[in-house]
Amino acid sequence: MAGFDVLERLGFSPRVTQAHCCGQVLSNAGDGPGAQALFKRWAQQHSQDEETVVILSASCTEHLRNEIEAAPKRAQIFEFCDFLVRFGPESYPTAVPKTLLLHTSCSAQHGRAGARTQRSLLDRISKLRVLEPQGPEGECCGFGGSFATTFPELSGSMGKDRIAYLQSAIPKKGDTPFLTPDALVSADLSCLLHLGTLRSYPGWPILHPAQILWEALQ
Amino acid sequence: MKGLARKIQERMRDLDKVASHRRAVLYPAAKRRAAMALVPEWEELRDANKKAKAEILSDLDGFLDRFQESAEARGTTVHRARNAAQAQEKVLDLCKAAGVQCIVKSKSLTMEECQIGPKLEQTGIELIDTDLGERIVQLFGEPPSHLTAPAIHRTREEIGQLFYEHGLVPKGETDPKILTEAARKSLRPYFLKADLGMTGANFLVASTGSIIVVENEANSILGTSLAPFHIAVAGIDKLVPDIPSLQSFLALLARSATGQRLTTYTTHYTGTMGRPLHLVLVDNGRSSLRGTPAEEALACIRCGACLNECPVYCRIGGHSYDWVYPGPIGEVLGPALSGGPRNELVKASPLCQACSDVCPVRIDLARHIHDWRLDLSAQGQLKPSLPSSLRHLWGHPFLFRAAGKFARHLGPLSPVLAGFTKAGRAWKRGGRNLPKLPKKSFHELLKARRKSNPPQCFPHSPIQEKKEIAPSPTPPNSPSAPKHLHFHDLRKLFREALEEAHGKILPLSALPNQAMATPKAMVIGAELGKFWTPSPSQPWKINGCPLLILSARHGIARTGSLWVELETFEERLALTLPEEIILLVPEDRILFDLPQHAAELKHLPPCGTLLTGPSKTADIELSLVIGAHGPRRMSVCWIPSATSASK
Repeated sequence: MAGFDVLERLGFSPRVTQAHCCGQVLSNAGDGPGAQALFKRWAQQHSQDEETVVILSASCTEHLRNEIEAAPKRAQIFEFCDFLVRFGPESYPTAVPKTLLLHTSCSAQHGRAGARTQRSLLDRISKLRVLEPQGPEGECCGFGGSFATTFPELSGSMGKDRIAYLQSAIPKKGDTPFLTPDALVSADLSCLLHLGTLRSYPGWPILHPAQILWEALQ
Repeated sequence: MKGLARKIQERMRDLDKVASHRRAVLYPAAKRRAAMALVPEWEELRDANKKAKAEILSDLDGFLDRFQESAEARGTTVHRARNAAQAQEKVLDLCKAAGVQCIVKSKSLTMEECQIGPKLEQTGIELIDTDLGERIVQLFGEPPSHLTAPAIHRTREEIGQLFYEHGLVPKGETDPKILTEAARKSLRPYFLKADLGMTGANFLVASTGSIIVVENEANSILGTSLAPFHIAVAGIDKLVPDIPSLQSFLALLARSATGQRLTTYTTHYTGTMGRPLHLVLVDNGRSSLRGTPAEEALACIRCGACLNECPVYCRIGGHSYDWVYPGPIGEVLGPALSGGPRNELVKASPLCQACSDVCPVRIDLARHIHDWRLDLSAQGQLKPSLPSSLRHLWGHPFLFRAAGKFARHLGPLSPVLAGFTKAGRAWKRGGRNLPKLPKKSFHELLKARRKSNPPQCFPHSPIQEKKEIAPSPTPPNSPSAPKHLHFHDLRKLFREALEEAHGKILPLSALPNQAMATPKAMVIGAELGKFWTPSPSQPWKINGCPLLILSARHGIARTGSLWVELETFEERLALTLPEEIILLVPEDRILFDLPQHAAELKHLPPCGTLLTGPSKTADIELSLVIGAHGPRRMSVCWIPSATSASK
């Protein structure tokens, strides 16, 4: 909802289509015909030539970019953060004095959909502190669609390690500045859905960057 | 065969083992990153590699013929095997004809793939793996678990116990240095006794007919130099067009695998030196990939970087994949080269794309894994990994929305009920709770919003898209050498790279005068200052060559390597047998990087190697031990060139 509100507030006059899933879930599970049917439905709903498509998930964006063969149409698809970094304002009117822990999804990290743009977008908000883990252990959170139920123990273990990795970005007691995150934020909510349901999840509230932007636009 | 899901479930019960394996595998991954940071033209090199392999694949048969022609012109005998059985037969026939009884074998994944070793052993031939990691898994009686680090799944304690049981070390020994030394000692008699040295090949150069073998330990070159007969086994996908295009592969292979600039030995076998050299070229399903989208998987150079980066591989280990090629590349090659039970491997990936990012040949592994899932399911050879009920629900927007509405209506009851479904049970098995549902769906919220408050606009005019930040200009050192580098700069670069490879620079004053007198010195003695020059007729003593001084053609500053041409078997042994080697290089013969080196290689000798430091291994828990099968110390000494001496 916040994504829609932000775009509206910024004067982009968004339109929400009745499209369902882009087909990624079925495609990743190996169901080609099912995925194709969903993609066709999606493509019909987004066939207006002059319209730009903004998607609130990097992995869906990536899937669609791979599916769409026509280059001009492909260039009209943006992940939400990527879109606002390119076309949105340089700064936002309201300071948001919060500390956020940032999770970068695989699609944002390895894919082409919106490499590292969520950080650039959040950096435009004043007083916002972003904690982001560094280092090579930043692996996939283990969701991977049907991967999570095909290999549950493996997927869960990857999730736990991802949480530990995120925790490594939080300053320890005695460090200056000593910060505790107000929320975990990511442009890919499917990762956070996975992390959030883990029994070892530390209980951080889960937010999408759009929700932070909405605060910054008040 | 147990199902993959069952096997992974069992593996995940031992979380300590999973964690220690992950730690081990992350180590070379970190080394790769560090190496990459020093190569600004990394992406260009990946492109060059991809292009060279695409060229090969566009005319594989033509390049194979060209390779065979060039190899045979230099005396190498080339055999072609269509499948594993033919490859086994070919090698067995060659062994029988030569009366082979004992083989020393270095690492070869193609031999492992074709099960050539077991076939030879069945006929009573003694086959000894000489690579430390391979030897360890051979003694354990298990297959390797990683493309480049075969025993990465074993701890030093397990290896110590194994060596103790084989009478190599006292009980309780766990020091990798002592274990490596014990293996070196125990393998030397086999090197002496063997009547055949077998190797794989990392690259086959079409234009020159060269077989390139890279290694760190010196076991491969030692085996092929002591035994009177050399058979190499390689897949047809090992081809590269020519010596210049080989360089970009070499530049990324070792860096991707272990973070080294180059492996200790990059040996170019170009034809025979009076002893038979045979190459068995294996297809075994590779050509069936041609013309398919997965064709580019044939470009793989087996560096193992995709394994090291893979969050699945690093947890479940190579043996869970149950065949010679584990990890992401194994998932892509599995259905193509093996099929059947290996089709299931394509499920073992969250499609996170970490593998695609690191591939030095730019194979889009994640994409191919995904494509295989779709193709195999369409052909009915793989069950989609979601139950059909869920797929129907997901695939029909009307049903999906109705189900969503119903579930929201149930409120807190719905996660409880979902917990009884198959997918719900699986979700909980991963240590997770089922997610609670929001009270209203997005579309419902939007509808409500429309009614209550009309949109308000924040005064902002959408700005024009800014130009992408221009990529930093191409670094000056790629692909040609910076012109401003004086040989003092090159020497400095060389020293840094050599020291990183555990070699050292020796001042000229430390060298005895006699060494300078012979342009291509072959001097071995009990101690410095006491020399004799070996001749082909002289019997070689395998232990007791403390020092060798040999001259190299040129040095390569960026990798700290020396190009050493080896015209006789004695020279080959001289480079590998002594405890210590010193190499002499004219000081004005330091080249900047591998491309300049390639330009110097007008005519290849039958054997030449790029030598980078002393022999080494890290096959026991990846802890580095200097001195595997070859020299323990290696140093370089600059010789004043004729021109600078006259000044």
